[in-house]
Amino acid sequence: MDNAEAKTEKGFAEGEHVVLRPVLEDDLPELAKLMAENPGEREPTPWTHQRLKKKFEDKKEPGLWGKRERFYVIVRKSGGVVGFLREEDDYNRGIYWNELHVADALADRDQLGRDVAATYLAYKQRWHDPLRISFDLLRVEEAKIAWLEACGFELELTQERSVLYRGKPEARCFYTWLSETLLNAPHWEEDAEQS
Amino acid sequence: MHTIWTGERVRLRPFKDEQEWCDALQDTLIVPNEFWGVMWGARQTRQKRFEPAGMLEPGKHSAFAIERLDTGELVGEEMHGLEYRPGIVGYVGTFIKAEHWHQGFGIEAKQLCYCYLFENYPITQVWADTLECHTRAATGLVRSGMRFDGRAKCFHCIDGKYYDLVCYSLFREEWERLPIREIVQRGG
Repeated sequence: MDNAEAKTEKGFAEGEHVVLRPVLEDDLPELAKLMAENPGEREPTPWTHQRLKKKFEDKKEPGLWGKRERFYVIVRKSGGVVGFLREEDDYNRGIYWNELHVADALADRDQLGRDVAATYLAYKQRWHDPLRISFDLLRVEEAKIAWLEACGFELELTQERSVLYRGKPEARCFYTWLSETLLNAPHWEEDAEQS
Repeated sequence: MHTIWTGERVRLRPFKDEQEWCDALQDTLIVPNEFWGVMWGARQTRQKRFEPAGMLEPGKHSAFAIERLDTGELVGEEMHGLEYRPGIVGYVGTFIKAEHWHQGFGIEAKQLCYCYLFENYPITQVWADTLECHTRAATGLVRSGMRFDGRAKCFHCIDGKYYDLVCYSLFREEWERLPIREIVQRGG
């Protein structure tokens, strides 16, 4: 570890270069910018600091940490928000539908992105016994796809022409990691083959 | 924007009132769905969903009543909406009461709903999914004109076994070739 990355930040999970932690109020201005920059953003209305602050102060689910939807900020160990990860629980236990973004302009974006993917997966495995984790990306987000593939995520489903990106319909892709538990569990197709 | 869409067997129309919508669902929801499990919602919750726009709110999760043309009976509901983001994908989901199965009502209800969605929204496609073991639903989707798109592995657990989610879609140019477009009557 060089001096520039001397550990100062604390979080839920620590990677080589970054930590993941819940959102604090001071993170909101930077987080709003990152959410607005994310090509895969799910909301049709652009995120602003004001709008995000309102969501952060929501009385039912405050702090961008709800029962089904939670936001993590990605922070350099040396400080500074560089990205975010949005996690959504499925109605079925152990299933997560996520979004990920790391600031486009960073020179070491790929290094950080790979670290985030690995750190998040390790964190979930340590604390939450995940069965399947999917990231919802646009096909044009090649860098993110590479970070996830490096951690064992595979392309599962493509929805062609389903999202407007820079004025044109673009494919939405789901990259998924499946747990060993799930892969080894009884599956309906096996029964059909036996009958 | 028309709210009544009529085919050869069924009509899609708004639910008359919250009472009709809740009554249509209550008998079915009181037991777990054979595939999806418990889908019950308290009456107050359903009322809250119905009240803003009678379950027909453009762009949001909505539902038409499905009415048989021969008897006038309410046979189910056709759910639909636009997926999040800039809304260029619509979705459908069909529920038909068991006593009205196997008569093509669900297939035509879906096709009428495709007409409603493609004619009123700038969408590229309509999307639907079901479980791989729910072969009746999957067959209905294909017969309505949809194509198999892919699957999400080990998505849903029933009785300790895992089932894939199977996904289907219909692009606008494919819908333009469907015979339903020559049959559908728009409006009351």
